[in-house]
Amino acid sequence: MTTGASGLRSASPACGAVLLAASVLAGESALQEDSATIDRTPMHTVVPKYPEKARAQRIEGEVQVCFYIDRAGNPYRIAVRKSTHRIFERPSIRAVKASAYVPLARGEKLPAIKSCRTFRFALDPAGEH
Amino acid sequence: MLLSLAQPAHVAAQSRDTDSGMKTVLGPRNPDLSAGAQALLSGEVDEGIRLTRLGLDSAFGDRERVAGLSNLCAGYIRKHDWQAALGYCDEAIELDSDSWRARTNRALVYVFLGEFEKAEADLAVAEERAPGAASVKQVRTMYRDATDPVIPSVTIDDRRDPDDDRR
Repeated sequence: MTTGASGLRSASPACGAVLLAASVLAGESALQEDSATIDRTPMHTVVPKYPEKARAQRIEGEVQVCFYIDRAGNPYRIAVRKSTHRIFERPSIRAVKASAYVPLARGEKLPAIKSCRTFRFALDPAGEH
Repeated sequence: MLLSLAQPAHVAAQSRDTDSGMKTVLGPRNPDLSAGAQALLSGEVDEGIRLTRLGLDSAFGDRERVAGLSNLCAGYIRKHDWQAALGYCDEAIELDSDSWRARTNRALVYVFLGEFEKAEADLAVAEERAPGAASVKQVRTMYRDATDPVIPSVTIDDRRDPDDDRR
């Protein structure tokens, strides 16, 4: 289910799955020392559904969506930065909108850094699974 | 399953309207064929086949015959009777080798029978004749799913904005 250091993978063709990140929160003191460079921890990650039209036409692609995260952990100012095919853009934006991050603790500084999430839509040969 | 059904031609019958002169009224030229197609579309397969057979008995010209035979083929596909379907599709294609509906239906039969080369040949003709038709696209997808099955997957990679230098 998981690929790479920070990647999540869903091979479910049926519907947009909801994955809960198994991340462990770092200690609060460490967060305060280096708040500007700390990534927010995903709390609720929605994986977009593979568009049926793209599957039928054997279209694969990649979309990078960038956004800010507010104190409560909700993404905002969501925009597509890169995309190989428009068919994947709407499900990717919807997935980011429906995802959430761990809210900031009181006193914790809100990092003014944009986060980017890349969705890779791939079609794996069925025989290899 | 989206089958390729032909809607038989409509004819214009004219009647005189006392106030505005001529009025055009549209109606099916072969009501049984038309009703059969409607029944098949709404899932009443046996009734659709019965009406289509009646329509074929009074079919006018090859165009109506091809439409009726192609619709019978579609009806038997719905009943999973591949051999009967194949027979009607063959007859339709004998009358009109360019009938994209009959070609699409027969391609579907071949997909179910595992005869993929024949399915590909019929699909190629159907795509040339009606490249945008939904039924052609759907059968193409079924063909691909049968010959080249895939499992969709979505991978997520989280990064900070690589262009953001405020870190």
